[in-house]
Amino acid sequence: MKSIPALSVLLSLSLGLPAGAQPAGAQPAAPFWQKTWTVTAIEGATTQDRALLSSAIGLQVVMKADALTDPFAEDCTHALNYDDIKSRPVADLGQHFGGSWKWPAFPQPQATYGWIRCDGSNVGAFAFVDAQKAYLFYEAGAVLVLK
Amino acid sequence: MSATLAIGPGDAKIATVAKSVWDQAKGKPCTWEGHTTNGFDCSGFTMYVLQQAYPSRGLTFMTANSIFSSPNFIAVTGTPEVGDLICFRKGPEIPYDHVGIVYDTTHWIGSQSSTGVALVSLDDFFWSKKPHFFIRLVKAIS
Repeated sequence: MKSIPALSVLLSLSLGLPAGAQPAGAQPAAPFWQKTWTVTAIEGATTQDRALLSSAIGLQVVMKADALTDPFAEDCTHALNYDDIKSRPVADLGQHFGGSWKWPAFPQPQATYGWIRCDGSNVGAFAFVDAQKAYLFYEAGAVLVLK
Repeated sequence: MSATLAIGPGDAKIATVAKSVWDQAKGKPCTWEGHTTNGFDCSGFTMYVLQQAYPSRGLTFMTANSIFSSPNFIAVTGTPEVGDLICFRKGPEIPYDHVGIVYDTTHWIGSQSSTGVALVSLDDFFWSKKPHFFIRLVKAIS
């Protein structure tokens, strides 16, 4: 469906808002990656560490605007910060996160990734392929596949 | 290991310095062979904290393997205390893997590959499953 810019402007003016502004109380749409993710596979790491991590399969990471429930770190409900999650070149993953992992293949040269931080500390290195697949770069070179 | 592990009061000076260094380095990724607040690896963070806490000891930077066998440390046979080092083995055949500093009765601080310098629960999903032991800095005799 085509948008109707003039109608949008009229509606904004009738509500006393600048064109393009949202009515008070309207929530901006959550980013595509802000959802509940489930660990479905473990890549990388040694056989021994993958075995140690096997109970991670099925665990869920819940990313909400104001709270993170993360079985791989402590939950964060204070000073949660997603600002580092941005679209960047896949080639820069190592520069951003460090060199501890064998990077998975991404379908595009750009990907959305970054640190989730809690009170300034990094709590997880996440990369999002799309709304259906993501990666958590975890300990011992393990890459947790999230869906 | 569980969160109910008894941990003694230990060396508050080391814990205070560890917190200060964590505050300076948090948000930065783990850096292999890093030993500044711009980025640490695990042994770099640990030795930096001990150097700051006890500059007169003349401690040098060491790898985790060297820390575990250094005469500057003794094995903790009783209750671990704040300021002790928590040492992780990779497995039976590789006796060294990771090292951090016991911060309080429920946490240690270290520089992990997945976070950089961070506070870690004694119940952490990964690290609580790894074989580990504790060592303590031998204090200078004045």
